[in-house]
Amino acid sequence: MKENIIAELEKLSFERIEGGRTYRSISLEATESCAKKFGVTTREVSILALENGFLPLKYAKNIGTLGLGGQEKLLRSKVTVLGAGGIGGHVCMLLARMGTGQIVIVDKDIFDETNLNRQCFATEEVLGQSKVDVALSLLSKVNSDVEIVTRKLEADSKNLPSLLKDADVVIDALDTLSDRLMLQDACRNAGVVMVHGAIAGSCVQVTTIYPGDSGLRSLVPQSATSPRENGTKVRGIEVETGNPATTPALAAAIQVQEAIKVITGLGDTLRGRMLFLDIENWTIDFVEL
Amino acid sequence: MTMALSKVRYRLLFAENGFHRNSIRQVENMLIHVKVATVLLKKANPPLPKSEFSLNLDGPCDVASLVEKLGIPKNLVGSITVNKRRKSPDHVLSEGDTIAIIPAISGG
Repeated sequence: MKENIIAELEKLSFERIEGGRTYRSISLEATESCAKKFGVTTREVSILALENGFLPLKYAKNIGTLGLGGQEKLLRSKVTVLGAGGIGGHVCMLLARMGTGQIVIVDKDIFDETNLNRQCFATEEVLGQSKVDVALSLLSKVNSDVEIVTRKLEADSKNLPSLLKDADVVIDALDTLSDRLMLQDACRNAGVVMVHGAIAGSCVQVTTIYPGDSGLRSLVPQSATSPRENGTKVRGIEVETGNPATTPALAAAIQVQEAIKVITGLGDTLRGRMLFLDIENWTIDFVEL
Repeated sequence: MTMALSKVRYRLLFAENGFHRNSIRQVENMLIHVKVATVLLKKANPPLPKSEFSLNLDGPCDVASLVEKLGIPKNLVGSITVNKRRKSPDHVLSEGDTIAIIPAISGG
């Protein structure tokens, strides 16, 4: 079967120069026809193509940074995104465009008007609709290679083990300190790398936490170390500063790049240090954790 | 005359901080550079006018005391770096230090 698909790809491919190199390239149409002919998914076709030196055109502009091997690893990976709000929406969009094999999106909320300023999938037409449902319908149009799994629920200590199962990376796009600490504990127990990102006003922070790292425990004020005390969730200063359109996109971009680095092994991650940015009065700091 | 006044000021400062009189020693004025994240400026009491400034301390000062002097609520502070290294609240500052006060943020 594999040999037949490769032979078909050979037949459908054409030479094209990308980044100064000539690749045997595969169009979207060819990928789809191949998938249909052999009864497999387009992702399986893309993976096989990359494995055998073909370049699916949709990934042409990724190849300069990922290489064929990095793109293949990403297409075989599973990333779970907790929260589909300001950060989470952009994260999902970027993961899909980069060609992440499977994206699990967890959020129970519906869109409201206050989301319109910054949330990637929020439009005036979808107010009142489930965030994960809207994300699913838009993301499947962006990249059909990506399998989108949606979970319409609020993550808690009971459901997190199953939500994190088999994930290569977890993206923390939650919005309370207490939930983030709970997620860090669950990731530690599940042996999964967590990429944390948070925003407030003009500020952004991102760090990559491997199981067993102190991570967010190094950062949170004393008052927040007992999560959900009295049933209340601990939030940061963003309650007062709000979140503009720019910072969620910035956090998301850095978090997705971190996730890609963890998955592909390419580059230097933010493990053991937190990147802190203040884009109003320019601070760029790396805080050791 | 200046020196004498300074000594009085140090004594007062130490007294306020609960130090025993015998522990008083003369310390030269100390210039430090402070960078406060934008979101904390308006939260200080009184509000801080700008994000980056130099400060002349008239005695020994640790990280926690600096936050208090600046009127920044400590529960809003996530971490503090001194010369790009994260330091605990009891870290004592030195002449020429650059201190960054970073908020606890959690928005998504």
